[in-house]
Amino acid sequence: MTIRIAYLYYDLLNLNGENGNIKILKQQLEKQNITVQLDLLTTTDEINATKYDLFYLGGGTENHLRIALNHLRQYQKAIYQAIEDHKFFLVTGNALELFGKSGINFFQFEETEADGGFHEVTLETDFIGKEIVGLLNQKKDIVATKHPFFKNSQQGVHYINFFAPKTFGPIFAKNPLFLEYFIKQLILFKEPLFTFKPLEFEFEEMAYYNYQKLMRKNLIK
Amino acid sequence: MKKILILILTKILAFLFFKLKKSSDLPGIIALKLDPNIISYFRMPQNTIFVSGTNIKSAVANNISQIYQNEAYNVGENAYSSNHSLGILTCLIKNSNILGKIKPSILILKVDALALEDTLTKLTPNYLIVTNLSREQSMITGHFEETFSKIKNNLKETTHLILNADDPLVSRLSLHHKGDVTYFGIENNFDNKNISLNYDDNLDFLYCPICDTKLIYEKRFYNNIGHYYCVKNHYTRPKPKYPVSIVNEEMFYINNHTIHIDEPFLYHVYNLAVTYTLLKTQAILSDDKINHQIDQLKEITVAKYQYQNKKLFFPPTKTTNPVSYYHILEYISKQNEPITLVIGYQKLSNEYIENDVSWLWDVKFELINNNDIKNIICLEKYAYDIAVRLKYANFNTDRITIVKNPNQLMKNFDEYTSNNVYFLTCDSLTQKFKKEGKVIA
Repeated sequence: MTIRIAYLYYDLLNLNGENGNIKILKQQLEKQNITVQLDLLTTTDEINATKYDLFYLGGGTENHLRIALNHLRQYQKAIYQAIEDHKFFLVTGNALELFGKSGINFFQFEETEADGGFHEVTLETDFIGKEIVGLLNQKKDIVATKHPFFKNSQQGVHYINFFAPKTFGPIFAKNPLFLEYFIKQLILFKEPLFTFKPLEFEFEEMAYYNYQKLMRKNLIK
Repeated sequence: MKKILILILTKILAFLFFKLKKSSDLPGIIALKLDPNIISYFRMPQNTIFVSGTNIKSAVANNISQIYQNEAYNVGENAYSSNHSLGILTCLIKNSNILGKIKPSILILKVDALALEDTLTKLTPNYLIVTNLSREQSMITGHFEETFSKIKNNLKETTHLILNADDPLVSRLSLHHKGDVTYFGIENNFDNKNISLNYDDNLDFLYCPICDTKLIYEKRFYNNIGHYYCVKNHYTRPKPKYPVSIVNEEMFYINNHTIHIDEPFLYHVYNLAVTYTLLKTQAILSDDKINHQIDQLKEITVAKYQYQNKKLFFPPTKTTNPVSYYHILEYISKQNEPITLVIGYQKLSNEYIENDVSWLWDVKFELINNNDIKNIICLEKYAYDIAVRLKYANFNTDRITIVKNPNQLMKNFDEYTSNNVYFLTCDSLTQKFKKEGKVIA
């Protein structure tokens, strides 16, 4: 079995170590004896949206988002179709803005300027048993979304297989339950009767608990 | 009158800290509280040099200061206060008379990205050096475009820019500056390996600043540093005034002068190149004196210690800064000997309290994944985050050991480590381990 990943605008949208999500996914898929075809696509490439199982976009500077958007607009229809066809999208950091009103306008969320601070968060979702931990860069708030990623927060989007938590950094590195959920959904979508080898997340689980402990200490301070 | 009294009070304080050899911004803090406009009171000397950039600004500022002091010039610098706004103000207090005149004929200020906007708005240097701009943990300074904007929006025409030609993030400052610009950079590197681009290579800036077309690289030294041009001819790497040719790992030429170095770190070559370029541009010293002084400069090298029967190595890394790690990991990858790596941080930064270590994923640990690395000790409170990073750099997890307490490591040092131990640790941990060992000359 082969999973085809398109890392869109890898040379523009790659801040805050977010390429780590690709490294983590690739290794975990290969441990399941799955062949991973990773295509690095950018403004000089065509995007054949039907070819891929997963699209990844990371966060970037405002200038780089603008350059990426100029290219992405050409593929607006194809991207819309891919989302509705249940293709997987993992969109981290501020890359979500590309899909809103200021972008290709798939999602109807509003973006408003916020306090610009960084906030450690621990938030629940509907699809994972434990909270997701991470860091939100609150330069822009995303409001009035119909498909929030988190319960009790309007940050981020989750729609069919479009996952955009809006936290920045490699979200899979300290959220092993989300990693496990994502891998399984991705594989089972392609091969519903797939038999999984055991997934091992010893370090990731300890990193998760440790982060929560350190966050609580900061709150007390 | 009020400003005079403020200066008298804070100068006494600055003098006390200087005598105690303690670094402190307290004089600046007090002065600013008493008068928010105090900085406008100071009159700069004829030669004011600001040094900014993500890496090597302290080394460059220290080099320039050392050279002028060696040539008996009176130099003011923020060596005893920080490179933030209050530290800079403290430096001005320390180096001025009570009428606000800066006494040294040469003032050298290291300016942190956080202080750039404030400092450049209120003070105008004769020379502004920008060493490089690259990513760091975003909580500190925002990302590199924000730092670029702070410089760009506050440049004065009378400031002479000294810019890194090999860094398109920096060199494009010239597009926004009407004053003089001089460039430094590397023309030839002996190994010409022309590193190919991969998605995890800290691709900070690869597009033409004028037309958004992707730049073509004829040479790449690391990340987006090298020789680049736009295919539509809108932008090309500028020419350094005194280009560097690196002959081998121990020697390079600049302007027909040969410079010998002990360790093959590119950042050190850039350090000397920018120092040389600034001195030549200022034209205060003769060529002979510049060449002589450059040759006397001490390199910031890998500190070597002995502990029990093992060698300890402390490479000069900067926590949360992937570029500094790149150079060190390249160095480690070339050491053909069994190595234990110790990686750990008690504190990530003085600038923020959050516990995010995303920057670790911009550090290319894959460079050292070879058989020489016998094991890696992941230390202190972020040990598991480090272990996760290494796992996905394809290190066998059998080679990774978690040790939460540094004292435990020292107690069982022989058991945990091979003969050569490299420390990639924060300052406090580095100092702790150095105290245990003896310097190897």
